[in-house]
Amino acid sequence: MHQKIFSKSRIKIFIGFTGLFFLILNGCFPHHPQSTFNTQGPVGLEQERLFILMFWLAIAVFAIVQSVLIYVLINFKRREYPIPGTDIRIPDVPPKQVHGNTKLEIIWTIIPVFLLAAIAVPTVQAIYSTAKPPISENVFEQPLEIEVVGHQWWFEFRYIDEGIVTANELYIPTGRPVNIQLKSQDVIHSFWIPKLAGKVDLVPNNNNTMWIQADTPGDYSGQCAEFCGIAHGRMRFRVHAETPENFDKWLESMRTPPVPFVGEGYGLFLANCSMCHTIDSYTSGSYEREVKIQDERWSDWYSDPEGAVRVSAPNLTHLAMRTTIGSGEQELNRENLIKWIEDPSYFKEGTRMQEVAQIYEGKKAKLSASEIEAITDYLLSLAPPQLESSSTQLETELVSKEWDSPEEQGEYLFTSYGCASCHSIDEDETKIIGPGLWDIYEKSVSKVEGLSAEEYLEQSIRYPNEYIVEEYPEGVMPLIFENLPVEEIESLIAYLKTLSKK
Amino acid sequence: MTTLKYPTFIPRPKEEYSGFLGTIWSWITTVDHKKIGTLYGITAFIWFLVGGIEALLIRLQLYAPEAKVLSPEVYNQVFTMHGTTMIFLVVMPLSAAFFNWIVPLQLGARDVAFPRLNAFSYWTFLFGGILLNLSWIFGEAPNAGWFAYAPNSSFPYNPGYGVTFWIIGLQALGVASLAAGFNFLATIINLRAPGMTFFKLPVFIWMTAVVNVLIVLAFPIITVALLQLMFDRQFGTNFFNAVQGGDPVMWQHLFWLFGHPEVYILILPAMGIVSEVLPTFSKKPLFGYSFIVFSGIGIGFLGWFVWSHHMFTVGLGPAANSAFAISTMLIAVPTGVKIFNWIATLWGGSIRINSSLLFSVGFIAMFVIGGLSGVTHASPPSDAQQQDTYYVVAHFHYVLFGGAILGLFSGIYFWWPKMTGRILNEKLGVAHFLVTLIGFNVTFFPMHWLGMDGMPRRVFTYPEGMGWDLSNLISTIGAFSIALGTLIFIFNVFFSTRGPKNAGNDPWDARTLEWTISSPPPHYNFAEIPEVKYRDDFWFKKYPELAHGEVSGASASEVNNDDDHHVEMPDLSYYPFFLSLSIVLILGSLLDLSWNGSWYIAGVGILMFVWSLLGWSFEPVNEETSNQKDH
Repeated sequence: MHQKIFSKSRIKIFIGFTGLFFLILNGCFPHHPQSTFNTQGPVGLEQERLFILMFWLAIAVFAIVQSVLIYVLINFKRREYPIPGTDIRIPDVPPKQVHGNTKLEIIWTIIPVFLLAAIAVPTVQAIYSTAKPPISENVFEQPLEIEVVGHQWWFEFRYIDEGIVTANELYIPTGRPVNIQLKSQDVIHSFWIPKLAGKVDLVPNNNNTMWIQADTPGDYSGQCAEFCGIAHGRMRFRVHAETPENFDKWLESMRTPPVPFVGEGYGLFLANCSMCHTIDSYTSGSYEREVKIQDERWSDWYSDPEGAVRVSAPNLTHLAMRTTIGSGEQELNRENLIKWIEDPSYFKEGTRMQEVAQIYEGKKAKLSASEIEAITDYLLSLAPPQLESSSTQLETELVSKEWDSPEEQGEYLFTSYGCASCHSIDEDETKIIGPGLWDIYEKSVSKVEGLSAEEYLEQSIRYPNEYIVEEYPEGVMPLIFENLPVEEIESLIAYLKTLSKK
Repeated sequence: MTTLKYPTFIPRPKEEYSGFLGTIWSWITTVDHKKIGTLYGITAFIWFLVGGIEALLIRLQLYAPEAKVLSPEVYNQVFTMHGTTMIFLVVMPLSAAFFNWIVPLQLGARDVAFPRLNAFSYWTFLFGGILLNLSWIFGEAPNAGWFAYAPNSSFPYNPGYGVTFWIIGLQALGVASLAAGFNFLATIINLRAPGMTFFKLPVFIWMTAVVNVLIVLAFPIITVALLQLMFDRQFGTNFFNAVQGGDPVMWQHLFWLFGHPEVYILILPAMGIVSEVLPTFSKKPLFGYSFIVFSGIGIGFLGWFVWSHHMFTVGLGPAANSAFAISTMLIAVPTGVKIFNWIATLWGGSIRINSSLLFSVGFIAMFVIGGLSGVTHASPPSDAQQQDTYYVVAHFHYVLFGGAILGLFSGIYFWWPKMTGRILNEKLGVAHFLVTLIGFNVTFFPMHWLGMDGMPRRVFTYPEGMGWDLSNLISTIGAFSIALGTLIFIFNVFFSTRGPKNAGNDPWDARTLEWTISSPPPHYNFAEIPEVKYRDDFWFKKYPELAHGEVSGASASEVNNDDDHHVEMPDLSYYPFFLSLSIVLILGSLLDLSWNGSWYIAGVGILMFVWSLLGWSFEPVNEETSNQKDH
């Protein structure tokens, strides 16, 4: 009995051989973070197998057609015979005038049909098998649900069930399917992690789904694959596939608040960055708040791109835990972060941050080198306690400071929390972003019925959206003073009282 | 009863011109299909150089990671314009140059069906191309890709003039293509020589017919889509605006419903050329004429059912993806038939290897590679990894450069003697072929690997450490080799003008009617319209012993000598020129509606439009010039 040509073992040898072939190619060029060969998950593997099947069929057709072509050119080249003793050369006799051969032509019409059928069947199978993850009875193997939102030019990751929001670095557990819902807030992007799965587009108003699974722990490089504007080439991300235990640890740490940081950087961040960048997505309710506010930020920009002061931006909660900045563009370290804050276009031209934020207005940051360093130190402190870096020394000296009067403390807090960046304290009440604060205490007395000036000011600091001064947009002031100690509120109000002629 | 008459106070273009301005005026007023073909050819070749320079800029920017040759914005403009230029301003008009030159000659006709409409097509193409490229002067060339996906091509993501230039430029080019499409269909249907039934048509004519059916059916779709996009941009409608409930995917459907037939509009003319070149140089009839013709028609037909394979990653769902995967794979069948039949045409022939044949063979070899890589992304799961990567860039350059451009060069070497009376230098031609073929493969073959290695398209740079450095460097070197090949060709053309016009009527011992007349042909083409008995009529009249039946009577070449037979040809006209100019002025005025000058431009355009349309309508055709003055 003779063996079938396409027995299973032969196919295995074939695939193995192909693997070897590309491994050798890999060997010549060692580091290939985005290679679509040697994939590490079931979806990518299925796609790779299909390609390899077609690859060998194509190689066979290619070899046959090109060798026949070359043979024909050599064998049927026109020969001319010289007539001895003269310059005249005569061509050989005209060839037989064949007009065609119906049988032959039908044969070579049908052969490709069979070849294509051999591709079409596994193609349709793979289309369906890669569309949805396999259904599992086991509760612990249920897919992890993640929402990916495309923004110009970064990716937002929302863990729907865990209530966690992060950006540009996706953590997933190994060996477990991950269901991804793909959305876009602005233009069309495409979500692609070559080592794990082919791409699926993020289309506004047309939500898509895909699933991935990483079988081995590791960092996988991903990139936006649909042309989406000026920084398309710089819209990258990382996927960290962790063992289930490590993944759970990561989830836990994402829910843990960072060690409090007191220093100039905090205030500068609040004043200049916090309108667009959320940093507190570890608290309860923060998920819904972030989803809502991200929409509002974007609507601000969309309805008035020229005049907007905020735009949707990556969530920076526990930024220090990440490995990259600028949406997967650069390694996260102090030096790069300083450069990034100073001038985002140094790494990435066209960011909405540089275009919209008031400290940039399209140019370099209007901050001194020491201010930028202070913000950098603050950002690098954003990590849960066990990961927290050596920046703790900074805060101690500041906490222990003694104040002569509540007004003095209030003034200090007013500056270090960055209130002055949005609120003018001058007599002429220039509008910066928020309302001017000259004479604010007097004005507050009768602002809201039933609230004393003190109560009104406290409410405005803790819950700024409760009352919005006319002509000012809602939701611009960051909601991060909710838990300020009573003593600090009091000294802030004491300071605000001094902003008056009296 | 009164009838409207052409006013006598408006001067008519004269037949005789002198001096430099006279020469220019004679080209502006010409309605001769050969002169218009030459205009198409020269213009398209100049755009080819422009598009080529854009390609070199792209390759320079990508030669190494983090190169700083172009800024991201300029890079986006350059790759958008490279694609748009090569498709709409190079391959289509270069094919149109061949349609113009060759179709009437192969049909045994004296001109196309509507000579003035033909001139109108050319001028609209020229002005449309200029309008599109004027955007460079504003520093705001189109930057949304040749596919201009909404909403990235709309406000507020893409303010500025770039995409508007792209829209109005393409509208003008669409008008040009549509007019030419109807014209060539009318020509092929009505102006065939007596006895030339459809199945005696040369295959090049057949492919021209299929292409023009595709043009006539596909361009209205893009016209509507562009109109919608323009309304979204200029008048605040929401066809593709997701925020207001519009659908950006709709743009993709409309664009590719046009865009995929467009691919066959680009490749089928080259297939027609190859089908003429191979039989001529192997001295055999085309193998399986009807299979080749019907597979051409089949490609044109199936081309309408595959557009969504450009959208496999858009999320149309497994059912739609399966359907379009299978319809796409089906296209490989008629394409394969053509390849096999071409090789069978060569088989057993007496093959004369020269530059024209080499380019045709190069076409087959490269097109096979492009076709096979095409099959690998006809399969959506495999395509999920390839879509929008350099693998696709490699694929379509194998089809459009390795296919269309090599095929068109083959046609240039083949018909150059007929067009100019001179044969291009053979050694330079072979050098041009070798340098181009090698340069082409060095440029585009590594891109297969780059794509499979995860490098996306349309990125203005890439970081170090991705493993893409070497392949990109090789590719850039290859691009400059192609440029060198093109320089050899240009040198060959200039070199040839120094030689004598000694090609003779039939330098290749060819097969079809255009070779029966002198080179270059007289302005009336055929002194007497030939009668046709056979497919490849001229060949079998030359070699009656090769035909199965008896061939009797004089061959066409004996009838058509070079005497002037006082054939009446259509009169010159300047109205097509001004009608085209007026249309482009009106389109141009849409650029910036907030600028008051736009209204003046539009006003001038509309007045000129009405004037030229009336003039065109009442212009006396074939007037007897000698009698004109007496009345």
